[in-house]
Amino acid sequence: MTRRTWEAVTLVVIALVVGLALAPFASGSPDGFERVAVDTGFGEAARDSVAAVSPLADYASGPVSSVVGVSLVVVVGGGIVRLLRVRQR
Amino acid sequence: MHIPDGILSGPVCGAAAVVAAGAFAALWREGRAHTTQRQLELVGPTAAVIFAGQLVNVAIGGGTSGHLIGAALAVALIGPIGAMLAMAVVITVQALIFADGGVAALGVNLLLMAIVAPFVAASAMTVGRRLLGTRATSTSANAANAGIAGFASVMAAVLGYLVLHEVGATVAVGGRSIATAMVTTHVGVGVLEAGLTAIGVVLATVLLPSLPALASAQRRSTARPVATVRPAATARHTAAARPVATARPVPTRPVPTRPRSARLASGSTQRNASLQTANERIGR
Repeated sequence: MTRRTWEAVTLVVIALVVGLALAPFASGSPDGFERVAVDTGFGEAARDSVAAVSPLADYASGPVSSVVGVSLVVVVGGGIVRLLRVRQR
Repeated sequence: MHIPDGILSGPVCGAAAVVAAGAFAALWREGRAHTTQRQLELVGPTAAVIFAGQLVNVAIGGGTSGHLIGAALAVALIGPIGAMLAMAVVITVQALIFADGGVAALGVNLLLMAIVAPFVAASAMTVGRRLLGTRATSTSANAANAGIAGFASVMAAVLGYLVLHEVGATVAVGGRSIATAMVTTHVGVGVLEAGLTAIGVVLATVLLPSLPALASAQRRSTARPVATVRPAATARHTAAARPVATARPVPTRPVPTRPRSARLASGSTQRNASLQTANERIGR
């Protein structure tokens, strides 16, 4: 395995371990922004985005969301980068 | 720190999207000469780590949680341009597939977390490295430096949000109380970010010491590229011809006869342009 492949695979494996082994223990409390939005009242204006129809909205079905999300960003990231050119090395 | 739809007015969201797009274009133009193919190849895998890291909310007290944003970690792993791209991919996938952060507000979230946060993190890390000097090569110094940059990036994103909130919040709540609440709450989030970023850098140094940004952080203190002190007027051309100006031995480079210092000082765009085509001919 080349060094590049090794780096890429290691990072993706770390991502999957975090997404599958640690994410289930995540705190369900509102995050800092949500906390302030609720406490001060401006959060009332929040509404669902059009993406709320997604079957994975709000990371429903935990482990599936982790795997789908990790795979998607790898694919999308790889695709975007293919369109960009920089010097070699 | 993912802003949902409805909080900020349409015009502010639109303006943020335009500014974010412009910033991407400008930073790409500035940064591509310093970005390598290897860094770009790791954008996807780095985005994966950031995405997974953001799933893990950690309680920070007061019934509040925080999670990694990851801009500083991404900068530490693959450099600022790769980090911005990785963050943009994460934020966009979160908004479109997981309804985390608004779709109308996507420009806001991109601006705060894919532009402001990595930019501030990268700047803070550069300043930190200067202050550390040769000590920046040690893993602990590097990790601490990245951690502090992580804290700074969270605070910068919060300040950025407060500006947008002041301009275009749909529910008018006293700006001062929001500013106080946002900053105090996010001090905790920033400390969390600092800790997670530092842990991430230590882990990466152990597991993947060859990662582009880590490796270059170690090189940087011993050898500084000559071309960084080029005259501003010829910046673009010099950057294009940069492979020639670095100390790397390249067997087939089209070497001009004059010494490098004279070449850089002359600022001859014609010469640089011919260098550029020569480089293109040999496929660099």
